[in-house]
Amino acid sequence: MANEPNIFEKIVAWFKEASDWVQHNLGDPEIASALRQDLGLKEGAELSPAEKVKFANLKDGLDPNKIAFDATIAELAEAIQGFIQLGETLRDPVSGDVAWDIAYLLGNVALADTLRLRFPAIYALGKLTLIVSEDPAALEQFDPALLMKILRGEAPQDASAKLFERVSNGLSLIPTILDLLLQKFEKEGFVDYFYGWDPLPASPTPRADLASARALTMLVGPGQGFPRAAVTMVGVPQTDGGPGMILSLGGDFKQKFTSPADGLEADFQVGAAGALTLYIPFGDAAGDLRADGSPDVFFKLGVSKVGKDHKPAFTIGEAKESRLEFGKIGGGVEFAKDRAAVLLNIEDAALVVTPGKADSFLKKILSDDIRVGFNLRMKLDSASGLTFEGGTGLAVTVPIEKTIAGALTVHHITMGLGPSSRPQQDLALEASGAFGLKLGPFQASVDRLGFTLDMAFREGNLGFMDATLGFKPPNGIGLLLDASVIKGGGYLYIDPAKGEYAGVLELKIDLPAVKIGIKAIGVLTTRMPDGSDGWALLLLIYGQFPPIQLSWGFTLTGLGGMIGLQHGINVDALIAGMSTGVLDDILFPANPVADAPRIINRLRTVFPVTPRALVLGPMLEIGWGTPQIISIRMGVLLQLDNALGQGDQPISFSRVVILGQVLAQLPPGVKADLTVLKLLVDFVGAIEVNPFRISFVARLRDSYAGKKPLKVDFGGMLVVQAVFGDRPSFVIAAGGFHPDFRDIPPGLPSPIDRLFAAFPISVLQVRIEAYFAVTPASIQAGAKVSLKAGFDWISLEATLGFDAICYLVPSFRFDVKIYGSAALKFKGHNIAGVAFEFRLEGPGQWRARGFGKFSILFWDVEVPFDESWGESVQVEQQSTNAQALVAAELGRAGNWTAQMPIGVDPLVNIARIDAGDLLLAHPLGTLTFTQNAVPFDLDLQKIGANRIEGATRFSITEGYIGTPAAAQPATTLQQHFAIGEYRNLSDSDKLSNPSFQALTAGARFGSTAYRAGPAAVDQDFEYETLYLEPEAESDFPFARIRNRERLVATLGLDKVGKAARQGAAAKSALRGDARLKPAASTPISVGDARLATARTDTLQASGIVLDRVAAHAPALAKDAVLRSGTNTSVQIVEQFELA
Amino acid sequence: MPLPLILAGPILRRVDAEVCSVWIALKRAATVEMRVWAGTQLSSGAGTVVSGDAALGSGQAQTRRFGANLHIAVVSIDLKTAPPVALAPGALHSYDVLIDGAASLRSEGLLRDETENLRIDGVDPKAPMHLALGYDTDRLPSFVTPAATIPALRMAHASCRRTNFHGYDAMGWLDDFIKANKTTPAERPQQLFLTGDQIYADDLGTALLPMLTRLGADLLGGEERFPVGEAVAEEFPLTVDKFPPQRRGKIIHEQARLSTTETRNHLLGFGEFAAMYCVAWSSRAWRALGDEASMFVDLGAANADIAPFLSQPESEFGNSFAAWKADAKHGVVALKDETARVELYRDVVPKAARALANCSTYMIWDDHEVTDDWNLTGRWLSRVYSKRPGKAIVRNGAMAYGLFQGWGNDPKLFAADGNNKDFLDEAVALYAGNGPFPAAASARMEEILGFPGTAAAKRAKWHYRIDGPRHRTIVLDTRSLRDTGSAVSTRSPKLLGDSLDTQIPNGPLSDGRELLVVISAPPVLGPNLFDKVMQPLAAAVKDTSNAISNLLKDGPYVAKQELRRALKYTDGAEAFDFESWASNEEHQEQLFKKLASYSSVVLLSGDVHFGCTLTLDYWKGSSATPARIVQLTSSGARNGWEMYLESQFRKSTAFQDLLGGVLVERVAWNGAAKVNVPAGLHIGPGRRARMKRSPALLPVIGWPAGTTVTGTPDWRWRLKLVRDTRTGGVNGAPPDPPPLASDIIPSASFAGYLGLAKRHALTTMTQPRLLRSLMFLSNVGLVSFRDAGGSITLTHRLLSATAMDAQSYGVNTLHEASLAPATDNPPILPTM
Repeated sequence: MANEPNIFEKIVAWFKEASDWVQHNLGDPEIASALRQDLGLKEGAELSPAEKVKFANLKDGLDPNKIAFDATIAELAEAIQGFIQLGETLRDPVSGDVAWDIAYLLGNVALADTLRLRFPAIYALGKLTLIVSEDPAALEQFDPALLMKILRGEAPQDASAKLFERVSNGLSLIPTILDLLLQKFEKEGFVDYFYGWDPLPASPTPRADLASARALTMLVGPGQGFPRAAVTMVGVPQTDGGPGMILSLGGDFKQKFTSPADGLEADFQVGAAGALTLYIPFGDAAGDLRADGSPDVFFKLGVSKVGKDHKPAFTIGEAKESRLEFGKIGGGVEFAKDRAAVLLNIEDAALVVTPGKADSFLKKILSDDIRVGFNLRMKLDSASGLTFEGGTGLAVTVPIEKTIAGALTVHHITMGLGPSSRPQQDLALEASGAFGLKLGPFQASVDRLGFTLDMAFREGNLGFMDATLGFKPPNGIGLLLDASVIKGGGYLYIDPAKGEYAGVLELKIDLPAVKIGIKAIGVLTTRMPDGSDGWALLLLIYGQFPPIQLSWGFTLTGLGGMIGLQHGINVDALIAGMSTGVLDDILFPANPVADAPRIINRLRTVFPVTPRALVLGPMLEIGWGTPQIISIRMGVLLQLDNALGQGDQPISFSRVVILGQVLAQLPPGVKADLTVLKLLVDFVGAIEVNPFRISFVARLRDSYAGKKPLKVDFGGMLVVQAVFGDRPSFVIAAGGFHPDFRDIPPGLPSPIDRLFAAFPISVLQVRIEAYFAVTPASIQAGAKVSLKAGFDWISLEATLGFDAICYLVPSFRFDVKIYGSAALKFKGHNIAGVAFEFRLEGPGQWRARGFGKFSILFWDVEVPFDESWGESVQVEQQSTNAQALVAAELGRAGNWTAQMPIGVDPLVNIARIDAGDLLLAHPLGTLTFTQNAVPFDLDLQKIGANRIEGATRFSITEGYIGTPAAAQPATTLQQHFAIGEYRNLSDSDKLSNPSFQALTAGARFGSTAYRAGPAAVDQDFEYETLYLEPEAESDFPFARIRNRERLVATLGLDKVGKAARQGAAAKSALRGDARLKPAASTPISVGDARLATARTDTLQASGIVLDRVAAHAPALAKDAVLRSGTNTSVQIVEQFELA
Repeated sequence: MPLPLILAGPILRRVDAEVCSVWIALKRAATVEMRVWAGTQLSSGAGTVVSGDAALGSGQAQTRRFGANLHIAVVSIDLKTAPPVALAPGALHSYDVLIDGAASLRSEGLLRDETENLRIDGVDPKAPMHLALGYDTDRLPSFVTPAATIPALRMAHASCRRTNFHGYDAMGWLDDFIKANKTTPAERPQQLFLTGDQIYADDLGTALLPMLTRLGADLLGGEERFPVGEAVAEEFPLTVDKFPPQRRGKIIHEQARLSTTETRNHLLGFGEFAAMYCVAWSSRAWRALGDEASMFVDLGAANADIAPFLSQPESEFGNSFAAWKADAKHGVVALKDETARVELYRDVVPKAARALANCSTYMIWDDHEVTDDWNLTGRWLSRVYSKRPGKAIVRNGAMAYGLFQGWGNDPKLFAADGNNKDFLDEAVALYAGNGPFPAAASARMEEILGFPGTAAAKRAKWHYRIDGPRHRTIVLDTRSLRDTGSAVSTRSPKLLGDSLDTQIPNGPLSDGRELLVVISAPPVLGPNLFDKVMQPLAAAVKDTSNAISNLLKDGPYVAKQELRRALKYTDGAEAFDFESWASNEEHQEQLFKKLASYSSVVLLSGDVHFGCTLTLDYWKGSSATPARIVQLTSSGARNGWEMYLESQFRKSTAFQDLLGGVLVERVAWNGAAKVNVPAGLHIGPGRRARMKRSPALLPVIGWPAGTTVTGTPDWRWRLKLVRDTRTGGVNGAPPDPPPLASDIIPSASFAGYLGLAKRHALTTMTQPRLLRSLMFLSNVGLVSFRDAGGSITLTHRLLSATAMDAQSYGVNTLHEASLAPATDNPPILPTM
């Protein structure tokens, strides 16, 4: 049969056929016929016109319901990708294992569903191939060959524990298969087995547990009433004196007796483990055969009595009186080689108290039987002593439902006895109740208020025992006020563990003359954020009432206020929260009770606990027009720091915040769907002291004009911020920034919503967006118009817009981009489209670039262009002498400060001396010089707009007091400088780099090195070994969870010292090598990561060395790379990233 | 047949800051009112309580008619309209339901245990005894509102309640737990999530079906017609005679073209679906189970018209009806066991009903609410939705879900104008009048239910969110918004399709919320063995075994035959439900990325018929702080694995380790992987292909020596299966084995081995063996949280039977997982 193709040739043949078929798509009439069947269209039956269309579509390669045209295309594309990859593989002679690769790729190709229809065999094989070759954590590493080799008698190369584990794992399948087979033949219980070991988390015998993990015990026997044989097998590896095997024989006998008439049951089991144990060596080198015949005998007997017909097994007392019932009661004994135990087990037990014959008090409060159900399991064990197992615990709830003095309703009382939840306490007794309090129209309800008594059975405060009485606070208190004129409600919630208490109350006073709504929210914190003791209170109160006329048509409709004791204002959180409507919750919240959890959460974030701070301020609600067209809600909040309690800092003004909402609505007072104009503006203005910052943010939201079908939605944000200090900046942004602009000052909301208007014109959705921004170095503006018309799956989308940015310094320069596009889409995928972009930069050196693009289905035609002309304009510049500037800064007393010695005894205390203009320094302290005029350690290119005369680089390397001989190295100090003031940056750098970078601003002199204090205290080491999870093992599935031991070990200092002296490290020749020792003890400091240059392909150092300034300044680093002329192959990385 | 006034319910549904709502089904139209009080209360009459306390608030709704005797209402108390209603967080509240102002839970007998002598009006004598909804006579049902802090938050979850599975229904244990803690708000679950398969429309006890068919007809009060073919004439009234039990397989497989495995007793009509929900949730809807005559229906001449569409089981018994009935394995005797299991299910329904009345309950569908494999693949969609019977089953099942489950999840959505309100209006229209039903064209309903080809804007929304004081819950719809690919595709679907972003917005949470809880019926994380190996392997083996004979067979290629085989035999994916999150790796990674934008996420799931806990730590880029995702799975409340298989896992710790898998770690890149394998060294083609994909998702083990990574991977994750670490044998913990006298000393190992061999034998003979990681028995999950020194630790307790066939529960599985970011190092390729 020389011409008969082999299986691989066959596959290739099919494969070729498949590719032909893919090319011809779904043109095969047989395919069509079969698909027709799958669609349930009967052979030969007349088709309805609708079905015919479906069918035609199907034949043309479209899905019958147009479900996923694109998915079909994607699948075909994937299949084609497989073909391409296969071609590549065949061409690549070095990859090796081509057969496997082809199998895999074929599998991939075959998995295209379109192919499944045509080649089920290839599809199925492909799927199998993929699973076997793709999932790395599983089957790839499965190695059944090893077991086969051993079964064939081929000696294993090494007899390690791992090998034994693998073999044991394989052998453990035998009883599994046997068990499953016997169960199939309804011989359950004939073979029982246990393979492996589940060690305790802190086992003291880790090696034995590890060996147990490959132990197999099989129990063989017909089951109840017949003896069973137990055979245990464990392999002994070479490392434990093997290779060999432990074979241990034992057995047991189990019997169950029942006497249904008496409800008696008895279980009996007797057995022995290790009646005969043999060690069988494999080979001569594995020691001698050994035997042991010392069985571990065990005996178990359990007897129980169960009640019949749902009646208890035992009752103490009369059936209809107060009594003790036991549903099931059982006892047992257990004996083993070195332990004995007695067990008592009571289930479904109950103490029933019947008020019938009880005293008059009980009769009064009880209307019905009280039934206290419990389970009790007790064990007295020679090894572990007396233990209780608490099933349901002992708890009784006594329903009372009585009202005392017409005011206090006791719903129920709970008494519980159970294990204590407090450390070092054994038992807890809880007495608590649920109460309702009603005083006239006022009603409150309390869950689970009471006491706990925690007890420890050891010597303590009561002599023979220790007892702690604790208050059991309720989880919450609900409040309700329902007088005819005053109605309202609220609640308090209590979290004693966190020390948080919060409450909310809403009242409506409804008198003919006065209608007032009062709302209050309070949050009391009794623990500071750092966990220390302390308290903080936040209280907001609002009153809303019928309009009181003010001048010019304004009316006052509400007054409120806020006080925060030990609370501050987080302006950033407040501004960030504007987008989620945080002001709705601070200014006269509509539903404080219903929304309390959210409001309280927000208040905690916006007004964080701040020790010693005080926040207070009034709030008002003003209306205009009758009926009210405009309503304004405003609050002015003032924060004072160090205002409360004792402290060493003086009281200071921290910030003032104005927040408000303006709502204009026309016509007023109608439902939302009748409103034709709604404008809602939130605003927050803040002046902060440290750092000095003025900010104002306004957000127009949920606003619109008109009604459907022509309704225009509006929105957008305006942000103004001026920051002074370390990183000064000034920004005005209406609608946000240029999309490429990155140097957005901190503290601004993100994102800043674009100013927009959106409206429909018939099926067309129009959206217009715009922004305008001014930053210290630029003016930015942009606008965009988007149109979208959609019908079910087909949509038309078009965009036209521009983004412009003008740089004012160092020279006027603009960059304008105009772009547009239009696309026809089917279910979100492009069918056809055009797009263009035109970008112009100038003046001086002009650059024009852009592209035009046309696409249809998978074909794109793109025409790009990029032209430059003209020359860069030199700006007339003046010059500055930098050296003179530095000298002036050095002479300025305000640039110098002195620090006391840190972390060391100053030896003397220095009295306060009025030194006038002189600066006094401690001899052991340090002296610091910093200035903001010129950055050091930087090659200056300019200062502001001015050229530099003379020296362009300055450094501080050392300083001295007295003579130069006493010079000490200086530690440089950094501050933020506007890098653009000193270096010529490219436009892209200006856009993408932070404007301010940390550069050397001065230096510190003086020693901070100091000797350690008194001798250290000796302390033994304690360490704990704990493996909580299996280690990643590379030989799955034979990996065993090993080392589950938990061990606390103590290592005495003497042993540590000895080990250190004896250890290899101590004896190493290198130890004597002075090179390993540091030249001087250097304090560790942490700074920004150092930058380095790396080759983009290998990430190895590129050879371009950055100086110490550039190594911390991305812009300078980039500049250095640019200057080297190798910028395409070199990138900047943080130094540790270097390969 | 008479019916009780309250057919099913009250079930406490959505309780959040805006509404407090209850679901109820009545036999007549009525105005239903809900009143809520603080604390625990005893009823003293319609809307009044013994303590005299005023109600905190009330709300009213008119029932809507979905059948002459089926009137459903979701009543909400609007907590935001004046006067405001204050439900204190984490506190106990009670409620009553008033019908037309006069009848109440008390007057209808729902507040006391029913006895033989005192049955509720209209209840069948065969129905199980109703239990007092407030646990004591006259006590109102109660609930605890979601707690104000995460450590005080308590949740429960359960899934998969099958009528004909063996053993106790874990929903009964949930009731036991609530009962034991009825006055302890700190312990009671505040939210119960039913994570799918609340009914098994496809797999139910044979004896149950005749009861449901008749009850369904009574609920509708008229004839419901069901199509069995494409022709208009191929439509028959839904009666036990026309659509008998055990004969529905042919309709399901050949006419409706479903891929469901269990088909004999598949629910068909809306009335049957509605009846199934009533009996799943209410003791009062039960009647006598089907007798022999209604389980074995001889078609006879009267049913000759429908006979060609029905299965003929007797054909396997020599076309003898008598021989079929007498057969030991398929006849009357064989159904006794199954009927006993249905009866046990029935007897726990009063407890299940009470649990649902005493805890705010949220639900979401999985497949069995409609049929097994519902919306499985593109092929399934194009096949089933092009058939009238297929469409009718999906419509009826999905509609019943909407009315019995979906409505109460978000009552405001169904009250406001939009597709969800249209859903109710359309359902009313379909079952208006006295039959035959459906009474109107169903095209709009099919759009609302999102049948293929419907624009997104016309569909009802089934996914929803619930905001608690400090946590947000997102309940995912993984069934109706899938991306199943092309019409012929059998690939694993993208479970959320394009709706991923709308269903889960980007994190982190705002407004001081600390925890995101996500409900996904299928587990997002599963033991690696099942998701990645066993299911696909089983499916592939099935396909291969179908096709392999053809591959080896010589002979010309005949397109027609090949194709027939293809369509017939490449059904492995359908046979093995290849639709987990893990089976579409790309989509699963999209979800991980989304979830990782929140710092900690707890996932609750069902579906898989075992319970477990897993953690996933997800590192983004070079960030040292990973997001933590904790998966809690509880399945099924009454469904599980066959004991003979499950026991093997208990008998071999090797299998247990295999289940958990080795530590599963992945490193990933958005583009091609930046892993450099030294030239000349071989890696598997699968691995190579993984490197080229986007995203490239790679294992960390199994790389040749010298392999390096360039830069930091774009993201990495590590999956761990949580173990029960309790010891000491108390309260459900595994018992400690006897200690050994000494460990193995390598130089003299015999004594050590002797000791461990004896210990092993002794343990095998005397101690029960439990699994520390997975629970295969019927279970319900309880989720609690505690403050662990600044971070939160979650406890997942799975309640399961104390012993085989026991009716009491034990906490046999307790898993703990911290919600704090892991401090472990992210996965790296080991340098070798």
